Amino acid sequence: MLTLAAANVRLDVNALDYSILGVYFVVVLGIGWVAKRYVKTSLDYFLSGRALPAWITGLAFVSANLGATEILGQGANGAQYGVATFNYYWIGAVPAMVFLGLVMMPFYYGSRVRSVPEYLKLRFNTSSHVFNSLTFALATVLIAGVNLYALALVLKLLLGWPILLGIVIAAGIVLAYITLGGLSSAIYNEVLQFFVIIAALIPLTIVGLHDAGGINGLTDKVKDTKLGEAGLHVLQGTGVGNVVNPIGSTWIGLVFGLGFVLSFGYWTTNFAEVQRALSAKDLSAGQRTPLIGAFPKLVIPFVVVVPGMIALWKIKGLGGSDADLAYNNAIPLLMNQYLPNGMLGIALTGLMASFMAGVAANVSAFNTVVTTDIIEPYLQPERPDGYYVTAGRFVTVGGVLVAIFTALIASTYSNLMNYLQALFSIFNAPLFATFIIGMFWKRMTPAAGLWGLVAGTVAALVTYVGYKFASVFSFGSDLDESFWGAGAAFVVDAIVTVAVTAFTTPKPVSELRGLVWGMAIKDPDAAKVVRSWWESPALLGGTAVAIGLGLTVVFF
Amino acid sequence: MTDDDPAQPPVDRPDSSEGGRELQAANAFDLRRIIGGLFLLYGVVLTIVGATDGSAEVSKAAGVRINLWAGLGMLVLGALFVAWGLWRPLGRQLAEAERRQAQVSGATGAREEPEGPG
Repeated sequence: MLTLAAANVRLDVNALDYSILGVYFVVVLGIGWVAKRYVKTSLDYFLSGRALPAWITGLAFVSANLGATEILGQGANGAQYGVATFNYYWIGAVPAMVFLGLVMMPFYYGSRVRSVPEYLKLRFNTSSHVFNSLTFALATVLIAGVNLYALALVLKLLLGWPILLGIVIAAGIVLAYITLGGLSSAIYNEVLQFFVIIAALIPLTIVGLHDAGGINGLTDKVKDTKLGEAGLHVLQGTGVGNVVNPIGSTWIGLVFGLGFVLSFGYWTTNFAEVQRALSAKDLSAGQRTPLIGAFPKLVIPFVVVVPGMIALWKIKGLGGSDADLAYNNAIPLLMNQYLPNGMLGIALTGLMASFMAGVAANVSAFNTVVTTDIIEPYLQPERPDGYYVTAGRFVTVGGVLVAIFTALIASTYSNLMNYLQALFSIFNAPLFATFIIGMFWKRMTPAAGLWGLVAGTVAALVTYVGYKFASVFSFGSDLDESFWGAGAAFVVDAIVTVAVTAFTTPKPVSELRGLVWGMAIKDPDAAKVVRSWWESPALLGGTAVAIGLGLTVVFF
Repeated sequence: MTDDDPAQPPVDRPDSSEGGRELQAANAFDLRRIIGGLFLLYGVVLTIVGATDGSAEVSKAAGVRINLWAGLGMLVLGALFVAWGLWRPLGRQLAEAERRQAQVSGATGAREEPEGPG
């Protein structure tokens, strides 16, 4: 064991580290088991009875996004693109989270829908509902597969477990706790996961920064790597015609593609995220869910992207030809480099927690959409409530099994983050265009709801296939493609929506109460509840955006 | 960490034993106590490991006694969560919320229970 090279990928875990991981699994399964006693109705199972406080749903909201691809992928991007990766957080997430909380939650929560597709059914018609339910179900199992596969890869790399064993163990644990306790169990575990992940990453960052000689030491060291000075700026070097920033995109692609379409599409219409806010106990808590999530999101890059940059300096040969030293392994390699047994067990637990968070968020959204948006309205209507809870449990099992197969699709992609971004550009970007227009334009017709979505989805698909397989289009990088694919989906969706609306009949205004801007349903009881000033959504949201902008300027 | 907190005023206990049990179960299932308990356990383990780490472990972490510091940090985090959970027990919060809800409903007359559409 003493002959291992400095950059060996296999973690030197011992019994202590495995015990730490084991305790965590026991707690996770215990939460699922206890949550089972609370599940009495389908609303309990799919939306936690709409009873959770904002701090829990807020942390679950951010944790649902802290999957394997986030930790490993953004760590890899930190090593590959440097400081420009911060754009994913301050431009690419926080404004959209604030928009969801301030502008969109009143419609989602106020109309009492149980899922994002269900909103389409009320606002437009059943055909757009069916289309979106099916594409969403497909997207979630594909994404859950990405997380499962990423998990198996890392287990193989770090612990030497065979890929299939890793997939089955992780899938089995997620399956157990979601099948038992439904969304409550998924959300409770996500909050726990949030703290475990952070507890793994903060010490890693502290040790790395200490070793590099603090912030100034690290910037000096990054300047000497292949990233150089350009790797130390978020937006500098993204001018049109003169892109020197390692991210390889112009500021237009970054701000419009990533900051607007991709990010707003992901955060405001991805049900795996919105579901957390819908399970909050009241509208105020629902609004505060993404806003409370925005604050951790502002600082998470300091413990994810920064370790990636430390790894670029510390791990010699990172990103080179050796497959073990791929950028995706930046954070695990750094953990092995610095953390002694004990902390190493916490780090391993944090990684496992992060993978399971990603799988669980998608599986719990999948079972809700399949049960409440496909089975209940169209396949088995008018059954007693208990039938749907049972159906939800079976759908969970089915979803996890399908995810094991989609994990094999994911295994054919070398960069998982880019595969994910492409999925988002196809599934989320058109949905966002339809939502934003439908919420603000009363005249938009049900037919436009369907055809806009279909056209936008096709546009993103054509951009993706034309770039990836047919080589018809060329872009600066795979990431650049996903920015522009998302932009194309948005624009095409919007044009088709307006065109179809011009020739079809809109819904009577009386049927749009609570669904469109200016017609929100006011809850008479809500005004009576006295709230503290720090619970004001506008204040929370404004502060988060201001901090994000300030940080962008500081790191410009 | 007991569910039977004697400091809790008796008014928080509903008359039926069924409700009392539910409140106790809610306290046991309080996420703050679960997080607090797990981090206290991890904190104790890491602090002990960190205090006994040899020079090999310390030099691996660039000279930082990281097990000890992380362990102490986790102890603080765990203690904060447990303190928060004990300071405002979930059972009591639920009972208060129900009382408030009842008062509000009483004031506005018959209140329609929100249901899913359809």
